[in-house]
Amino acid sequence: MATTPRSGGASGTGTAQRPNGTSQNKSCQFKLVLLGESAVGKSSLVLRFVKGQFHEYQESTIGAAFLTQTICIEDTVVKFEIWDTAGQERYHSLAPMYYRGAQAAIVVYDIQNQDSFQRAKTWVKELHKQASPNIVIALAGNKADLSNIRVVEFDEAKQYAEENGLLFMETSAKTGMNVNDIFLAIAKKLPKNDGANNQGTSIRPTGTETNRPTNNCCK
Amino acid sequence: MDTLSEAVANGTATAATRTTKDIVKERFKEDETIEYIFEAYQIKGPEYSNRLLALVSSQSGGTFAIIAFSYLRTPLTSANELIINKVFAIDHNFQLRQDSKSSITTQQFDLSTAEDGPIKYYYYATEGDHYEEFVAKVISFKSTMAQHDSETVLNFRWLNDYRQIGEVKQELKKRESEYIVYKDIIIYCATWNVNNKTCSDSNNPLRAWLACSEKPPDIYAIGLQELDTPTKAMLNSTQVQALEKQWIDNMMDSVHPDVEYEILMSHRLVATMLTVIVRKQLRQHIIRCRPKSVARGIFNTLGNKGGVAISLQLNEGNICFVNSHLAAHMGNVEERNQDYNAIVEGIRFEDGRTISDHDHIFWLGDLNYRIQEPPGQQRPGPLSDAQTYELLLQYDQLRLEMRRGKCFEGYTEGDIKFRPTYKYDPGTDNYDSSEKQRAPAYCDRVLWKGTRIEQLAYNSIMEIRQSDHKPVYAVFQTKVKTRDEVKYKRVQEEVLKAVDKRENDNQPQINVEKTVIDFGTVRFNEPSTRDFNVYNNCPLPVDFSFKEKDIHAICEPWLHVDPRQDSLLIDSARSIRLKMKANVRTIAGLLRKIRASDNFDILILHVENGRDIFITVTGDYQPSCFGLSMETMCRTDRPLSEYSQDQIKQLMNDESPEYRVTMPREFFLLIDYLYRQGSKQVGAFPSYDSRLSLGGQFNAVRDWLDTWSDDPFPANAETAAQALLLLLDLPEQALLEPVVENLLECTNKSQAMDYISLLSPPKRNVFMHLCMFLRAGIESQFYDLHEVASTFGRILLRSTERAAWMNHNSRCIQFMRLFIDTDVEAMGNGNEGAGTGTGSGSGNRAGLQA
Repeated sequence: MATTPRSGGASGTGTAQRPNGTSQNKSCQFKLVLLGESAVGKSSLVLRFVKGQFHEYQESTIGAAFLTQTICIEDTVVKFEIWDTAGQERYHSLAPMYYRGAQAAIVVYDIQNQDSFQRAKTWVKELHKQASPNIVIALAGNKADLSNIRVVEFDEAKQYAEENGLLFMETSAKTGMNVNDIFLAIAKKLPKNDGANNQGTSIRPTGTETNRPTNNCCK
Repeated sequence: MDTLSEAVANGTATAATRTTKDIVKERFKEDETIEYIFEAYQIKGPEYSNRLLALVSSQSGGTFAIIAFSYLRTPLTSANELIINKVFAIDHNFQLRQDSKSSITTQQFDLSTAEDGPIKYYYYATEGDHYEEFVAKVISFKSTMAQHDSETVLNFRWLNDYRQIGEVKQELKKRESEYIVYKDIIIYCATWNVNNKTCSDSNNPLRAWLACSEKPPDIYAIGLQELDTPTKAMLNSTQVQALEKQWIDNMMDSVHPDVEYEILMSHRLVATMLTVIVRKQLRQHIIRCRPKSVARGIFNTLGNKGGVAISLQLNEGNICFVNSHLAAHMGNVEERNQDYNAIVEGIRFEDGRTISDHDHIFWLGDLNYRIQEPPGQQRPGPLSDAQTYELLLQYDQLRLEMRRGKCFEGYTEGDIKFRPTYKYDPGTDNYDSSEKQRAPAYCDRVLWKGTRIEQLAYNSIMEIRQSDHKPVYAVFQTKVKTRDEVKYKRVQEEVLKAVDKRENDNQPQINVEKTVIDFGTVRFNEPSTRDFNVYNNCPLPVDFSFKEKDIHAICEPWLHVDPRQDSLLIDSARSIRLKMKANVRTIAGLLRKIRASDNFDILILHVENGRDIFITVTGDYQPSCFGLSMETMCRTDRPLSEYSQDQIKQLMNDESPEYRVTMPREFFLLIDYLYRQGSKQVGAFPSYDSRLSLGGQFNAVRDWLDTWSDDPFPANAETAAQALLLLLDLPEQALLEPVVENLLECTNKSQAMDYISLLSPPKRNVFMHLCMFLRAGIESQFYDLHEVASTFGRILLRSTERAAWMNHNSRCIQFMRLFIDTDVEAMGNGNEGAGTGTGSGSGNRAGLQA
């Protein structure tokens, strides 16, 4: 009864489907992590993106929250596994556990807070040094609804982003401005080819992360 | 539980015709094999939920997996009742663990992968034998995988179809009616037994057969039987291919002239060929196309009879064409039925689909069913009117067998308004005039099965005469499911949103009593504990565990967490105990941590399928001399008991070369005490290995040192000696660092002194003072030179790099002897470059002032 399957063989002729399967769309799954100083609005951005909500007094994140959100771009279904991490400096040493193996990161700062912009730059440096080399990084200047009292100039951040190969948008979790757009821009930039790295991963949050590629495309 | 196990038992018993395995198999693709099915259950809150664990292998992936299904009904009657609950890839990280808590009634085990922490399953005691079998198979498959080295990327792509992406697909399928519209498609089915004749002659000889419809067809399915394939040709594939090509070219020349066509696929089994030709414009809407054939005929394997099928998906509609040539001769009705059934059973396309898994099925071919004449009846002769056909069809074996339910169940055939298509004298419209005088029959037929199919025409072509069969065609108008892309996008987005929402809202959550655990005052060599509660107040049972961090442990070595993981039923709580141990084994690390951070540790409490909660562990470490560097101690200006954690942190991070005293008072006090004990010191210095087991008086000594107490020393010489060793041994850096490597190379004292002079003043002074003290003790014969040199050498020259060296210990002894062996000194090597300036054994504290 036991057959011993060939090992490592590629499947025969392409698009095998389950009985009654309907969609011929591609589906991809990406791990995305939010980083940035405390109180710049990481959780608010996620909450706006995932649930369309905004709380003026969002509780401080003590840990790492996990949420999923799926969007469609062209004929690809992109599922984000979002890890929203705590921004407080004391948790900094734990951040690698969350950005390791991530395909995308949003580094957030508060346009009213110069320190948070500097901290964002440090995060970008750390990601370039220690995260996956192909990670897609977006810089989000949040609280853009308060642009009349801004201290970080749009052009300054934009130039920095260009020099470092980052996507850049000013966002407002409060008004929703650019929130979907930044996730969409990331989804567009992420590779969605079927061949590259499609080892199966679970959709749910996992235990200790490893360096295994988790980009998971399937048909 | 009895009813449950009965139910499970019944599940297997009643499925006599189709076993559970057969039903489960339907959920998988053709190249996936169910290796074993094990019936288990899970306990979620007060509920017991049945689970079917299917151990599956994939031919294309070359890998194994366990798919856990939940099912709502026993016995299982159809594959639709199975809901995928969990997927475990059997890779390097996969584990099946038997639970040690097993009792007779609750056999349990858990499965885990790199992505999924252990998931607990239970099984019924009566299933013990099956469990053994299941485990044996899992272990054997896992070891097959383990033969690959861990770098090999195992192919688990096939599993993606069973993961959550599948859930969205299922949901979309359920809401099909919201985005499906029906599109009219003209399908032209044609069949002809060509009687081994070639198709070489005349212009467009087939146009009369293939271009009979008014509107140009969208899809042609053309079946030929008895292609000219003599044995010789069968061996020569180029010859056969040329023959095939000739026929197909001929077909392409003969299809409806008004639109452009292209060949979608042609598939041949020996002499039976099925060719599907589609309108060029339609091609892009055909998403999938697969062939399959079943050989029958001689020995049921040679394929001179049998069936060829092509399955295709056009938009959202699944269409199947079958061309079959069934067993010949009047008397072989049963053989024909058997051939039909063998084709139905045998056709399984690559994606697991069978013929009946299609919305629209068209079956054509030389089915070979004859007209069963009542005995004594005359041959019908050349007949021409409808009444005569009706009369003949009363004796048509196919219709009789269909009525008896022996074949083509669920299929429909249109009215036959044409002459029997067999058997003619080739080149004529005359029935067989040979000696055999075969009775005319409707051998060549087209049937259909499925919804939204309307037959527009069904006829034979008399004027094509080269074969002993007349070709037959049938035209259908079929409404094929098509997506309205705009509506589909909307539904898809809604489904995705709903799935996300369900996932996010149903995320298991636990509450933690506090996220900062404060140990209050923490003292060296005094363990303490703190308890805190975690609650489950979400509507699901929750598993939690402390996540392993980059240090490859869930917490720092000075902490202990119990339990490390557990399950919480709804509305239940669990107390977690943290133990803090600042002791000889952990103090160096703890002080390093205090120096760099404001907490003792941060634990990651991971909620299975949910968020992580960070728990910060803090406290006030009460500084003590043990573990502090000589430099730090020389910066103090009051007893350590009067320092706070922050103050000592500052001193530890101070790197200036300014010191308040030449050597630490605590060290000086111990040496002073020991020296004054005189002969009581004999045997006081423990061997290297016993220096870490602290006696009951140790904490009193600690306090005496940390308070600069004026009281008499609270313990004996042995404890003092032990404290002295720890004072030297516990700091992160060995006393003689950073010159340990150099010192181990030295062969004489003056050379060694050059390096000693490079040490910081506190270290240098401590070392010289210690050596003088030891030398005095050896001279007085209180200690054995060799023992002391060994004990202190290993501490002062502690080196992680060199420790493993064979001769490390003897090198240490050799070095120590340069400084404490009076004989060596007498040999004239002595050259005290860095004097301590204090007389040994002097109890004068003032002498220490820098």
